[in-house]
Formats: sequence, C-alpha cells, structure tokens
Amino acid sequence: MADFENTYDVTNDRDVAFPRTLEIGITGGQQVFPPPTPSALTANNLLIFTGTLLVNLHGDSGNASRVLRGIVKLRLNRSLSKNETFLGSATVAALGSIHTDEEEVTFAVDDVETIVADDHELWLVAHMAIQGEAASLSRMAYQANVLVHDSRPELDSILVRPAGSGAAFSSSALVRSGDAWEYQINLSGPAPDGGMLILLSSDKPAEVPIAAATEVPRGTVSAVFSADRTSGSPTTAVITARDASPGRSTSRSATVNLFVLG
Amino acid sequence: MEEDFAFVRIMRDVDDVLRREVITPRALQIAVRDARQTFPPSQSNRLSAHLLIFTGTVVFGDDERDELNEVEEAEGILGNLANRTAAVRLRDPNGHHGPDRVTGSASFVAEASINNTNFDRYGIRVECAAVRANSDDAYLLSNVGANLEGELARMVYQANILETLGQ
Repeated sequence: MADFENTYDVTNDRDVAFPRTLEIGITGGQQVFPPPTPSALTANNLLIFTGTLLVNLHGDSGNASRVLRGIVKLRLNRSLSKNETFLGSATVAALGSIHTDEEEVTFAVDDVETIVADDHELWLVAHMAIQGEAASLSRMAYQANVLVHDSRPELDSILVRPAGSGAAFSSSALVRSGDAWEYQINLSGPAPDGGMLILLSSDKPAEVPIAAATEVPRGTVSAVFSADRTSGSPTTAVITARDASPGRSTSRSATVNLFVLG
Repeated sequence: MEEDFAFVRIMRDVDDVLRREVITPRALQIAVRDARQTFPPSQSNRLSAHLLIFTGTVVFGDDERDELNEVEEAEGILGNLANRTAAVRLRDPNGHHGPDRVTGSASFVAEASINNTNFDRYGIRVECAAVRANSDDAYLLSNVGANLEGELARMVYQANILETLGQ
C-alpha cells in the first residue's frame, strides 16, 4: 500500500513550472527496446513533454527512519483520439529541488513511465520515496517522449479555379475582379468520422475573401467549395489552407491572380 | 571540458537477465532526414538515418543482490573511493553496423535516488555523460560518485543518438 498517491495536471501552474509539449511529424518511428509487440503500424508523430513538477513531498515529521513510498501521477493534457495509436514511450524524471537539515535522509524517483489511461489521456507515472522528518522534495524534472501513429489523412493540397469555368483546378488561377472562384481541398485519404476541419485564410482578404474554415465531409478525399466574389484592383492573393486537427500543423497554399478587364 | 571516463567502471546493461540493473529501459527509433550534430560540429559527414532515444533509470548498490561484485561496487560507491565511471550498455538495435554508425549524440544524466545514513556532511556527484560506440554496441558513460555516507542509489539518463543506416 502506497504511503501517498498524488495527482497533478500540467494545466495547473501550481503543479508544473514551464510545461511544454512538442508535436513533431516524423517519417517513421517505433519502440525498439524492449522489443515491441509486432505491429503493422509505424509512428508518424513524436510527442515530447517537458517541465518541472512541483511535487512538494515531505518526509514523516514524526518518524525520522521511516521511508515514505508512493506514486505521483501527472496528467500531460494530451488525449489520444480514436484515430491515434500509442506505439511506445521513453521517459526520464530526476530530482530537481531537495532540502533537509538532517543526517538520515532519502530522496528518490525510483521509476517513471508514460502510459495511456482508460480515458485515453497520457499520464506520466513515477514511483517516489522520501525519508527524513524535515526532508522536502519540492521539484522533479521530467521529459516524456511518446510515439503515436495517427491514421488521419494529411492535407495534401488546395487548388483553385474561376467559378463555373469548368477548368481544371490548379495551384494558381486568373480571376476577373468581381467574379467568384472555387477551391478544391485534397486529402491523402478519406476524412475520418466527423469530417476534417480545414482553416482558411487570404493575405488579401479585401480583394479575395475566403471563409475562415471549411470541413471536408467524412469519407471524402477531395471536396470543392465556392468562395466569395472578388473585388478591387488587380492583385495576387495567397490562399492558405491549414489542417486544424489536434497535433497537426500542415499547411498548403495556392494563389489567386485578380485582373480587371481593360 | 572533455572527460576521459577513466575511473573504475561500473557496468550496467539495459538487458540484464535479472532486470535489476536498469529500471524501465526504453529505446525509440525514429526515421529522420537532414539531422546532424551542430555543436560541437560533428566530424562525421555521413547522413543520419535514425534518431535513437534511450532512457532508463540505472540502479547502483541494490541491497537485494549479494554477488560479491555488487557488494564491492556498493562499497565503492558508498565509501571514500568516490569516483567511478558508469557504463550503460544501451543495446543499440543497429549495433551490428559498427562504431562508425554514430554521427552525433546529445545525452544527460541526473540524480534520481540519493540518501545519507548518519553523517552530517556528504557529497553525491553525477558529473557528466557521453555516448561512446564500439564494434559491439553503444554505451552511455558517466562519471559518478559519492563520499562519506552519501549514496547514489539511482541515476536517470537520456541518450539521443544520430546514426547512419549502415556502412
């Protein structure tokens, strides 16, 4: 039976100092030690979590020789969607800040691991110990490296054309000022359940406006959308589409060249 | 300052039979492109194909073990024979490609479990860490020590190694 079981959350600034999460798209990754369970999947995302946990453990103030042992759990504020598969992790945790004025003391991070809980949240779990009537272990530094396979498709491209022209979609289009235009969002595979949200922007919103976002319907690889009418003087607008899915930052661009008949 | 890691060695293996030398050892292998060690500049001009991330918690002086070797190690760590070089065999999955496979590395170690028994002054040191590869495997080397009644019971590490795919 553990002497303590403490729970912390990286979103609470009284629990963690300088928590950071990096999500890195990778071309392939796997846990190679211990040898993994055979899987057809390879990771395409590396998640890196760092921070200093304000663990604030204290020894038994009434018993100098007693070693308190327990479990510390840190919620990393990253849940895996049903499209994501946990493929492995490599985690470190070290003593960060300790204090005592005694001779007989223990400060320990005996073991640490990152796991996926039943609610699909990632947790860092450490077994820790402390001994000494006046001993305090106030901080623990950590880094958790997690490999994930994300089966959601990638944003492949955004292509444009004048509305109603029947022309092929292209990475650039010539559109007369005052006319409408269309864009095509292409994915690397069918959009998952719930569709795939794509954020949109124009660097010339007055002349070539576009909606802030659109959604590629579930099961669809490619979808065509109508944009608002253009207006104003000749210009070149860069239209950018960005994958709004958690953990994704892929963006693709196309240009709309506005012209005015002489 | 470059360390020579020349103290008496304490050998540890992430794959020891009893699973007591390193707690929760893990290794991740990640395919990369255009990866290199930029400081200090790597002497290797070979392209890196993999980033390997090794983590674990090294155990020193496990009280449950009674092998003479371990007792001596524990006494060395606990006593005034302060300096040791810990060598952790990492079980590199690409070790068979030879020592030239490593194109760069970045590693650290830190105290994970320390204690003192009955002396009001003591010292515990985890001084540096680096990766060295030879013909059979990659090793994480670290100069560690403790004196008087201080004990370094566990040390955590992360070794990040860039490697080529083969010869």
